[in-house]
Amino acid sequence: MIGLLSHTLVGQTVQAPATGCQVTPGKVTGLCQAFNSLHIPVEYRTILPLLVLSIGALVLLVISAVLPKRSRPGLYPLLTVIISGLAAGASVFQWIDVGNHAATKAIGNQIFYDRFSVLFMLLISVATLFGALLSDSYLQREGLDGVEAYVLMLLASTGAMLMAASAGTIMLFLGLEIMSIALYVMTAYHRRRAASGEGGLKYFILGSFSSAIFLYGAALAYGATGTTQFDEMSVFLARTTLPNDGILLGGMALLIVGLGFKVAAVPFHFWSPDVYEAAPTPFTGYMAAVAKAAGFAGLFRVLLEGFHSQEANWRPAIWLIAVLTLLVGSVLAIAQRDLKRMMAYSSISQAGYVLIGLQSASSQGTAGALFYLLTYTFIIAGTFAVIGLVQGEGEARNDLGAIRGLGRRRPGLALVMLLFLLAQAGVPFTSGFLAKFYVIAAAVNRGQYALAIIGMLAAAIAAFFYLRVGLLMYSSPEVDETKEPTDGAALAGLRPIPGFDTPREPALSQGPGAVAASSDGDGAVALLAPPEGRVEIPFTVGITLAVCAAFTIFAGVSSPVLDFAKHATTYF
Amino acid sequence: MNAAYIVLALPLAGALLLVFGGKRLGDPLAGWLATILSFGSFAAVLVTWLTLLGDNAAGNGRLIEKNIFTWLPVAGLHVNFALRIDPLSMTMALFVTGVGSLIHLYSIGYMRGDRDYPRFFFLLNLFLASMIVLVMANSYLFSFVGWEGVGFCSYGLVGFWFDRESAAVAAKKAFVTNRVGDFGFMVALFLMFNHFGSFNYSTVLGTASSGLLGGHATLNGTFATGLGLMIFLGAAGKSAQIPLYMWLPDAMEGPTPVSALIHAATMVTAGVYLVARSAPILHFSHSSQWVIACIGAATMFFAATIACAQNDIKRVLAYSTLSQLGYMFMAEGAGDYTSGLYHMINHAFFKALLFLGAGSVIHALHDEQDMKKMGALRKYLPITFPTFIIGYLALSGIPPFDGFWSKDDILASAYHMNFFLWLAGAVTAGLTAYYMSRQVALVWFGKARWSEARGDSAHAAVGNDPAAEGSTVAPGGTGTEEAAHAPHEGAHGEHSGRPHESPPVMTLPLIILAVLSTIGWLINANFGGFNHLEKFLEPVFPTAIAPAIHVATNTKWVLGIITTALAFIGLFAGLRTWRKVEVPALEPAFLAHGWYIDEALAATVSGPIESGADAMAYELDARGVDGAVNGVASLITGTGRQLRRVQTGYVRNYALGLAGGLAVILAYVAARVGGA
Repeated sequence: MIGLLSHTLVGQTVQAPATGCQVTPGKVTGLCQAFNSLHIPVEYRTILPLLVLSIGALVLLVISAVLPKRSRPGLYPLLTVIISGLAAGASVFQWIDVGNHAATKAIGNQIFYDRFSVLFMLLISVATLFGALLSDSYLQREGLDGVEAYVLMLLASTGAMLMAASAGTIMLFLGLEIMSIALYVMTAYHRRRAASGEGGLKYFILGSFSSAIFLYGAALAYGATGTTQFDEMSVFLARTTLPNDGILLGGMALLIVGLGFKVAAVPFHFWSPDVYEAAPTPFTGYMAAVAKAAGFAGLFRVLLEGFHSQEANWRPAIWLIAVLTLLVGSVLAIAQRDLKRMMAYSSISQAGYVLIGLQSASSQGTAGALFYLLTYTFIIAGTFAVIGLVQGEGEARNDLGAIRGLGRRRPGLALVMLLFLLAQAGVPFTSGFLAKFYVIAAAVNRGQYALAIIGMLAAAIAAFFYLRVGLLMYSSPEVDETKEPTDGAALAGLRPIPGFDTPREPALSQGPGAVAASSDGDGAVALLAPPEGRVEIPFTVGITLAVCAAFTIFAGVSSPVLDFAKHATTYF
Repeated sequence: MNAAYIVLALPLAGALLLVFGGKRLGDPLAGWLATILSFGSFAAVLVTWLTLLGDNAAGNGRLIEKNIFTWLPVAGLHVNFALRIDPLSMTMALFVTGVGSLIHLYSIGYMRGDRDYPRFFFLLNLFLASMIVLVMANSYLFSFVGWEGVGFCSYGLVGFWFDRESAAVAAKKAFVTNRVGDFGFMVALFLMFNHFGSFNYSTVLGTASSGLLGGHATLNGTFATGLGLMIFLGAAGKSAQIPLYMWLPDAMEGPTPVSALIHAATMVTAGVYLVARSAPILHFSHSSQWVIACIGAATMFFAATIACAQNDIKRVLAYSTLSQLGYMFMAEGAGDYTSGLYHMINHAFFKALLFLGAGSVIHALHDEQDMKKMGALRKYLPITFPTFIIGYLALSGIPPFDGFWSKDDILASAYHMNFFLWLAGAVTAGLTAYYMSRQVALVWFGKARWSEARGDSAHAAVGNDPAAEGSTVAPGGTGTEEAAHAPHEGAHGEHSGRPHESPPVMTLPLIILAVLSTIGWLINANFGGFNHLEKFLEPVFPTAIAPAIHVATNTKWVLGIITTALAFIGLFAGLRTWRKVEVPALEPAFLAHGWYIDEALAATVSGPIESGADAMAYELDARGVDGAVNGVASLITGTGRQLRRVQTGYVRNYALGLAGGLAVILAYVAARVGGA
């Protein structure tokens, strides 16, 4: 295989006129490689959204350097919205362009230019747009506004898009790192919250760990197949019977773990509740949508393209991970008292459904998973928008009590929040129902009855805590002190269910040996009364909520979005 | 044709506007908004209907479908929600929106001053939208959406004054009874999907071009009977036929415009519509047609006898509605769908008129509903009185008012099917004239009993009356009753003493309906080529599924004369007996209590069945089911609590967890090495 590769390289070198290199077959110098790479034609339209975002990030930096500091508060978010809007437009152009021509590989075969990647480009652009809209009011409230947040967001999106478009492990890794590093900084962005810094550091350490695992997996896969390109791997594996596939399978396992970390699949999820809680709320929402989508894009590329022929080997592994992810996510979410932590576990559980779609390894499963990610982007943006509003200045109130009585204080806000909660619970006439239905149907069609049943069970368990929040919003804002110790009843107006007077999960590390010491104790935290004062809805957040709510209903009752996802299943 | 969307969109928009902004609009703006949108919807139906008439040349059997959206295109189930525009749906939509708009208008005056004024109009508009969905849907499934929608609105409107216990109970009764019918409808849906693989009317019932019944030329008789009877069970629930009739008289607890709109003119005719729609299925099952005809005839006679002994002005009309619905089902059972629908339209006119007239009387007498406390009102309500009389003559089947014509058609078809069906119909016609005459005599003629009743609060006439228990009027005289009607009473609290005519906004609908009841029969008069309705509906009921019924002209004349004679006998008997100054107490307790069916049911249901239900609720459910549920819940939360300990907050532990997961996967992979 190596020989084959160098042969191609040599062929190119020979064709290139006026080379300065003396080429001996089998010995290719680094200079020549660099030279050759200069002659690789770059089809810019294949990476148009990426270009828009990365150039946009640079433009933002330049503008901020030229303009006097803090000259216009709303300028950077506005520019970010415009840039991500342009990126979304570019994605739509690409969608049509790919439709007119066949899907291809471009830029030295490093980039896949197909509808699968374009769908993710669009998804990421939209998530960036929401991220910018939500960040504006949050950052102003917290006194954190500045150009950096938006630049980081644009760069993270660039990395995420690169992951989705990558045609080999190298590009995938590049994208992964571009995205991850930006996300680490974003997590630690809230300077005055100790939790934020600690979360960022945790994310960074564990993320580096997983990046190393991923890279090692890529190396093993290269060792076994002699290529880093997914399609070449696939061709090689189809042609060749390996005498010993240990290295190949080891590489595959490490790649799954490395990407599984990014999508927060159990048991690689430990970082996610801490980071979700630590990161500034709009960034959490952004992260939940973008990092997850990009990680899944990578997983789909690796498993469905590169290791397509190894289906029999990876499907059981994904089966196990999916089951763990579904159950652990939904069971642990019930035990949470913090809104953001609860949403973190909820998001873990939701990832389990996408894994069901992946595990099916069928066109229906892939379409379902893509539809799931697409609709989840809107649901999660809306949910975190509401959390960002009710938590108050300085993220003072992230506990469930903050949302109590919202139905009376802001009926409209409570109504859209209820919609998002119901969508996540998978109630019909919302996009969440259709998404769950579709991936579970895919599992059933592949004979995965056990997985389908576990998926439905997890949905039933998860429905409990979504509905609990929903009921809490519509219960009286006054806290009945006498009922506090068994507030399972106070929460939902239900009979007391044992187990709710549980101590709060020690989110932040304690004691010696911890990265940073910070704790608010683990005694029983009473359900506090909601904060006083009116929840103001800034214009940007209002727009986001309206769009997300409309999309959630639209995608739940009508088929265009599902059809859109169906057209993006490249591999079937 | 796009006007069809507007038909549905306007009342739906009204409901949305009122639910969010109703309080701000208030009284009477909320009512006017709802009414204007309702009239707009009616106008849109007219436009759609005219376009459909002009569409005749296309040769598509006058059928147009306008798609709304397609839902859930998965696993072979392709459900598209669309509006079906054909002669039957247009006939229904025209009178539903037409009569509905008039009742909206009337309600502006009637509900004036009610503290929940916007909620009333919200429900009214939502009802109209649901009813339009029901009749204009393109599939049984979509119709079912509207079916449940009208059920919900009916529940909300019967129990509109939910602080009155009787209203809340009546609403619950209506809802629960309807569930039985809905069960039949749902079984029909399952059967149909299993057999035809679709819910669409076009697929299930066939179109003029594609042949009958989803391409099948015929349908297995047993299957058709099962399907037909299940559809009829659904229809019987909604249209209050035996044995699911009990809820309708109790539903009179709702405000009077609701009784007129939902429980007389439109919703209760949904069953008649559904059976008419399913004519191609029934065509293959002679036995289900017999069942429908016999149940219709039984309800018709049974309800008419009860109506003779009621004292509540609205309950008389409620039982009369049951009876008239029985006529319609009898016609459909006899295969004469056109006459059934013809009678339905006529009935909508005159029964809405009578109910609204009754509402006007109740309004004038400050929420008095007991006819024994009325009398001599003709002098005080100069507009309500003549219109009420027209409605009365129409319902009694006196020519030339429109009840006569459609009843005559139905009886001719019944005679063609079986002599005894005709006999029951003819006797019922006599009874109808009798009980309506009794009502007219008690309310409008004789001595004014309302003044003495109001003057003497200790008067306990109702309490002593054997019939009182059967009626909704609470024993104990006016004091209790006024308290019960308190929310409504505020509407016209300042008036006292003399009854007064209602405002123009209420009398205008009465006049329009009176005109319609006088000339409405012209839409399908069976002479001189006036049978417009029959010709219009011909594509829906071609002779292949509804063979023409031939009754010799001479026979028709004889039948018509006998029926009319019976009606006149009833008329005079009723008026002579009840126009006296001293009101006799002639009502047999057996009839006043509705043949003791409610009591018998209460005795059986509250005996063993209720204790069985109690056992289920308190023993099995509380201990068994709830115990299991709570057990599972605490198991899960307990698990969550234990699992949470893993989340220590230490990076080193997290890294260990990650490495552990990696080790497990590597171990799995190692086990598979060489296996591929």
